[in-house]
Amino acid sequence: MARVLRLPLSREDVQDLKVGEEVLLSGPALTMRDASLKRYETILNEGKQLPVDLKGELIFHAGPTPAARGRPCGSIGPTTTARMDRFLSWMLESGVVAVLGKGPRGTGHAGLHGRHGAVYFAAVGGLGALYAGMVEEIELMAWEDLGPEAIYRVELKDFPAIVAIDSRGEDMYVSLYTDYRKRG
Amino acid sequence: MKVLEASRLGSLVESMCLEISTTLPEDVVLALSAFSERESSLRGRKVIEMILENAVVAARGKLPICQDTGVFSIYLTLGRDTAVQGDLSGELEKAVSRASSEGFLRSSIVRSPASSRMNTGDNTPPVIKVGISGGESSTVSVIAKGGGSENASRLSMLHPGAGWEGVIDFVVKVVEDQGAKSCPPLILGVGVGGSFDCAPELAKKALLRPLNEKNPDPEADRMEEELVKAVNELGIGPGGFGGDVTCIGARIAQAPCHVANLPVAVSINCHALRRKTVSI
Repeated sequence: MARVLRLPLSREDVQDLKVGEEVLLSGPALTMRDASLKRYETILNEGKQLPVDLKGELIFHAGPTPAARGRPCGSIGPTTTARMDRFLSWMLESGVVAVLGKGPRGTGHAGLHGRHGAVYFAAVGGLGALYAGMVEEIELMAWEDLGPEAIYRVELKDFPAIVAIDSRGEDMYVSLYTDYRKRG
Repeated sequence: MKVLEASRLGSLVESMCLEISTTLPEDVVLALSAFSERESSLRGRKVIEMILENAVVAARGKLPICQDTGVFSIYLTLGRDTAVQGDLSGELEKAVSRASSEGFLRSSIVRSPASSRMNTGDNTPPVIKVGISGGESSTVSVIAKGGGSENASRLSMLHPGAGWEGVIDFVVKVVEDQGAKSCPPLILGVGVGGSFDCAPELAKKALLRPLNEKNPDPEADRMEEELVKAVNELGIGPGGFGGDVTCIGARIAQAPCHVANLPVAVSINCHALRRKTVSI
């Protein structure tokens, strides 16, 4: 049975989640990916005014399609989290509690999650149409010029994911394939 | 002399772009269903179920299969005695732009790639390749490939003596390193031979051949089976969550090459293989 989690989450809320556990996420999250993270990083380093505060947020690495008429949201889904590893340190220092994306992170990044008590939820890539039905609202928050890479506030509804890195820094992907591996 | 109107090719390409963005090809659906039977991981089977459900939701609601509607590559192959009249490049570009707005496709192309990365806003320009064949008819193919699986694709210039063993080892190693983040179960397009620039194109075009169509070269056909078997021993599984089905098909295309070379390219495609070929 998947554990139902109500967003926003605090670091206490995610403390007892364990790697491999299935969750259903409901509530507000922010989309950020390559371009918006890079711009955010630049402004952060310059010490200038930031458009959104990341404290207590779940950051969904996603870039949706435009919503067609009569739909709350277009196709949406996780993009490759490993590409965002380079931003992880300041994201967690800014108070991000959870990240939602797909695929394994690069070596060493699970430890960062552990140090900050933040989790990484992995979902399945390539299910944009299906996941569209699990996003009830979407609102542009900043940087429209980035198109799909702008920051959006999304309201998730029973969005399924797996705890891939828990708050102790345990990484599901480290030993995930050994059970099924048949090659030396 | 047969004359193809560039504007008519544009209309055709526009409808192909729209169709492939929302419709998972029948051969891919069949392959996913068939491989699902071999999956021993419950989570893996669940992922394949979700992929098939996603395809139904996408087709029914005319929604993009994946939010990454990809980069469009258009391959026009002209048969003998055939000419194109009009501004082919302009018409194809307009076709992609129209399809992107009509189909609510994501704008995923940026210009000045190493600096401003300004989004072009309509998925232009597409990749356009015009080829020639000695055949009677002409064909146009469109493939839309996502950025994640494109990132996972690789080229290697092997030593000529490496043979099929070298080819398979290379591809398996690429999938081992990159497969989990490129949306498995994968379809592998493999280009063997040609030149440094030709092998990746062969690899991508190899993805156009339906999964239920055998390779006309019996040796390459066996290698495709061997490759699928070898990759599925990696244990990466559907969604990269561990399992027996990491790959549901490999398509090999070959070309003659220089005596000193054995170029090999693998174009890794996610489970959402979006492509179509039409004879004109």
